[in-house]
Amino acid sequence: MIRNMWWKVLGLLLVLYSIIAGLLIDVPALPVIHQTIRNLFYHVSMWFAMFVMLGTSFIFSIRYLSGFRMKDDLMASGAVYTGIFFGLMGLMTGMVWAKFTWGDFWTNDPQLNGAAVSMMAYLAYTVLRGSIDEVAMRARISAVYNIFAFMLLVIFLGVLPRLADSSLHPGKGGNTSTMEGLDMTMRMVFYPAALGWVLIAFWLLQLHTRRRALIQGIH
Amino acid sequence: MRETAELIRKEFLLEIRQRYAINGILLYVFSTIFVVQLCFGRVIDEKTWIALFWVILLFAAFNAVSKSFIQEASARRLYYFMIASPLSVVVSKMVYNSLLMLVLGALSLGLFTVFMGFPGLYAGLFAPAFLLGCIGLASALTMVSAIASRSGNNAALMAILGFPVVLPLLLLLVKASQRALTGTVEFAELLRLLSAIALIDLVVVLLAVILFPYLWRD
Amino acid sequence: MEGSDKFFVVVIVMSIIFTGLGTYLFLIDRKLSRIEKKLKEFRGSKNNDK
Repeated sequence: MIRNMWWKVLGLLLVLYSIIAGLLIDVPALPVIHQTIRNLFYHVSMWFAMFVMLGTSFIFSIRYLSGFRMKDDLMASGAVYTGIFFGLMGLMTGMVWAKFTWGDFWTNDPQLNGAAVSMMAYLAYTVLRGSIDEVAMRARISAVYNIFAFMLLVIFLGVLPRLADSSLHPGKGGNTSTMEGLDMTMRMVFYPAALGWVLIAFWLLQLHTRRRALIQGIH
Repeated sequence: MRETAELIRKEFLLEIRQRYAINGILLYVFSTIFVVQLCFGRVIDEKTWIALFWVILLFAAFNAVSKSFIQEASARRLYYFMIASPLSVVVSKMVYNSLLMLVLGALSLGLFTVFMGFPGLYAGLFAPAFLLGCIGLASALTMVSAIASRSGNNAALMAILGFPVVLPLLLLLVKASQRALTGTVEFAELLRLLSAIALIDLVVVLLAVILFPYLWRD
Repeated sequence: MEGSDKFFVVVIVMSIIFTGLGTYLFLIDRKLSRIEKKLKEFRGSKNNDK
């Protein structure tokens, strides 16, 4: 029990810590964003969780194509669904944050475009899965699309922002102020928060696949 | 290798015999450009020109490439499966579609120039970007078409599966074209943009070659 | 932050909500484990019958 549960407890505790500490610590005074820099702990963690989930899905898709085990397909699709959940959370929180700092819900920012395209790609993945009836074929075709789309997304998110002229997000283009402003106290909250959410994402993934496995087991 | 060449020849023969397909695409390109001309008139600024050009070419690519696997009836697919290796099938399709895209692209460029004028694009950047862009769009969409053809409603799926995949390439192409507007471009900048586009092409082709066998078998 | 604005109350409320969510997740996890076990036993008894 404890051996299997420890990482789930750890995830919950880390996020709980980030909620308490993230709201109570002193943050550096920054122009424009002011106190909302605290959103970093919560909003950016959503993206971390999403990327880890999509990466997990990518790995399981490769594993599926190398062994054709249905368990791998279950994990791959489950990870995509979990990733989409965190992606939508990240998108929504990001839009609210953007409205109150940059003045618009949507700005033409490479980071935002990347997020939107990721969501499109993986929603398309779910549609693709829905449109194939035969189970083995569905697993195979969607694994191929998953690998194809993920590789192009990595390029999209890794290469394009570097070519961009400017970005409102830190560390890209002409704007590096926020990352420099990320002082030690903030790091002490941000990294645990991201790790905590990633662990919770894995937990949700596990719940999802276990439920699906049970349903299949009953039939 | 010979198999691939033979398959490419077959694609050409098919295209010439069923002329309605290629004529349809040509007419499509012509109509959209004509509509654009009617809507905007001759005077559009150069950034709009570039955006419109790539958007129209993108949709032309969707139209042209989407039929490449979808038109293959399952009986015929089975026949190819027996006689040809998946590698040569996918390579032949990609080569053929790339050539088709280049022809379509050149044609759109010509029509655009006739109807809307031509902005002073720096050829040293625009020409290679255009070349690599057509190849990349064609290859990526070939792969997407292969995926979509294995599912139920492939026409709608082609669009939703294709957009996220070609978007990085499209954005890069627009960016490179806009950079080409400024006249001379620094060599480092040129290299950076072109190598990014080439990288996408390379990844697409490699992935297609690796992944296609999984799509091909039943 | 200064203590006079009772900000800590908000922190406590959010912590309670999150802890509640976490507990709920644990309960689902436990239930799933139980059903998994039952399914296993069910299958085991089925195999014994044969």
